[in-house]
Amino acid sequence: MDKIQKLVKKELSGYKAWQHANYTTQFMRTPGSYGIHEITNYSRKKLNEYGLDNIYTIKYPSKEDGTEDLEFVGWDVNDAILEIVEPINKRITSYAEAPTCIQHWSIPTPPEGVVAELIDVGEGVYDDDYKDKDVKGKIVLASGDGHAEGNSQAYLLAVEKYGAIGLITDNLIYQQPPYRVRENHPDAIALLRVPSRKRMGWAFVISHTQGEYLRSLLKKGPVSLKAIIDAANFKGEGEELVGVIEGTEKPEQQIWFVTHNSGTKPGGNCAGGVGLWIENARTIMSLIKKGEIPRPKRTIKFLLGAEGGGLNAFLKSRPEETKNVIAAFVYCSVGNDQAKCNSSLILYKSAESIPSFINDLCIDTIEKVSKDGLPPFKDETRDIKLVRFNVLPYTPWSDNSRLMRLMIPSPLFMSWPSQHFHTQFLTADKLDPAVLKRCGEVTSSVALLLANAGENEARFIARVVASMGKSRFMNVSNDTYMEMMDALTESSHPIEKLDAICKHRKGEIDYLAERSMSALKSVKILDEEADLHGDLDEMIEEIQRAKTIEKDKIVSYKTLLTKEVS
Amino acid sequence: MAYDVKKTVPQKMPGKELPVARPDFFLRWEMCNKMKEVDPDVNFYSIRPLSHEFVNFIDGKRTIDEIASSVGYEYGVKIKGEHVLLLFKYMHDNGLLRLQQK
Repeated sequence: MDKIQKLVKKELSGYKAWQHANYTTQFMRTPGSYGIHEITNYSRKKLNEYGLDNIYTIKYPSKEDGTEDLEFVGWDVNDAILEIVEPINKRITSYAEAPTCIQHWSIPTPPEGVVAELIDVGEGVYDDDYKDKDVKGKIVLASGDGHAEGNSQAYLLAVEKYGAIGLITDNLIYQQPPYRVRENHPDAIALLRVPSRKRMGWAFVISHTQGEYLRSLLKKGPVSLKAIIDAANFKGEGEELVGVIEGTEKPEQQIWFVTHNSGTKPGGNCAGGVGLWIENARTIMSLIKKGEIPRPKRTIKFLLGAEGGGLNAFLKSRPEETKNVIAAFVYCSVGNDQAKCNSSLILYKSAESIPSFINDLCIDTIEKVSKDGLPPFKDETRDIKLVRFNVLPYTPWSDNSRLMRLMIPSPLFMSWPSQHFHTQFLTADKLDPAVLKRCGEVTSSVALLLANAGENEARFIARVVASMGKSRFMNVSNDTYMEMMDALTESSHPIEKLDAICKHRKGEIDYLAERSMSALKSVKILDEEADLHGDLDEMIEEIQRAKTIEKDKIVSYKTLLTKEVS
Repeated sequence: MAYDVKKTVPQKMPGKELPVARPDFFLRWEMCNKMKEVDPDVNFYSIRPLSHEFVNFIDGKRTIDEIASSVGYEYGVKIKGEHVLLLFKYMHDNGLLRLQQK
């Protein structure tokens, strides 16, 4: 570990991050709700306490902030109850027991509730599911297709097309065999949302156990349900909280930490992002105040608001700020307990189509700070990783997708898979301070390195990019040899197969080389000095040489193995 | 109109930022099912990230086939130009991009 990494490791507290997350989980945090405003206020108070240079809010819709066209429908809920009233009286679920049971943007019922017959439409995702079924004025039971989009389709068909008053589903989205399937997570009730804002109906989510129980009752005769929903759709007022640590030398260049305070209740996954975001701000300010690190040359900005809407408001209000963002670290669910959730921290890389060194730098930092367990032969160096941290390609889970479209390098950090993702079981006790801390160690270390980078740091980053690039080419040629050996025994046309493998793998190295060279060129943003740029040109030549060597190896493997076949 | 994916170069519309949307539900399933025939690793959730990168790789020079290869290497899945064309044709028909023949 380098000096910054060690300082961050010492200062950043996973427990403090966890406490903020724990506080957050007690609120339903839909856009415009009481809960989301509460968390914004809480976070603002913390940033004030830590003494950031500038703290402000972008409101939306707001003429003053230039966001007047960003109107949205807010939604909040006090209570929701679903009961069987015929042939028996029995509570199925309620907001108090499982806050994820009521689909966001459901309309309220009269205080006494509504009673209607239940009709099973199978999956309910396609028109055919409703054939010969009269659902008008009734409640539809749909199993869904395991996707959130299937829930949207079911609602649109059942309520808006065929006139049902409400939808009930035991759809469990993001199933991940063998850990998260309906059969081994039968009581999970996973967050879903009413897809339209026409305010025509409501929808509940129930567990698979409850769904199967209703289906068994329906086999015996008619079933009627009563739904009571105390919720409101209203003209939403949103706010994006912005905290700024001003850069001293290149303030126009920025590094962002982006997270969202929206989410369901308990929504421990999203709450983890809020907790770490706050703790990162404290960590960096504390290190500056104690004189352990200099004030950053570049500006560090903390952005918090509703996922999608909040960041959008900031971008609309301050479009000029997007032009000089070196990297934006996006947090989603950054603290899942890996044992309790069958989970891993994931770095979802910034999209490779956006030339940047940020992916390689993050990967390098993950390796360096992942020091947990002592090997038996050492007393100081913790060489054994105990927190899982995997790297995957770009995936649009959160605000990284919006930043990607603006070509801002934006690695996303989150936990996946997750047995309890968006269910009532993802409470704060499913978060782990050690995981929060690891994510913070990586992202804060990289952010501080970038915030203060000069020629030497830029050269170091370039060397990381170059060495990782060359290493990837070697891995490809090694894998190619193995793939070709397998082809000899498995393919009935081995020569043709070897040709195809050779062509494909050479193409892969060309692709990787192009990405590495683009990433190297992106380092120039950190330093304008000619010396560095000369070094970068040399490293690009190194990449090109390595590319040629590894591609030649692939051709030689093909020639060698072709001789064996002949 | 039939497009040759090796000779067709998608072009962004000047001054128009492309949306960050999920492809249409039914288009997503169509893409998923066709891609799954070539690579069983692809699933419904693959389509969104892959689609984002299909669009990102548009630079006015790369052909549809070259975009398919690049994104295929990034994700380690087999993608044919015809799969990418499904999305680009949809976007073209909705006025979001141009498809230029080389």
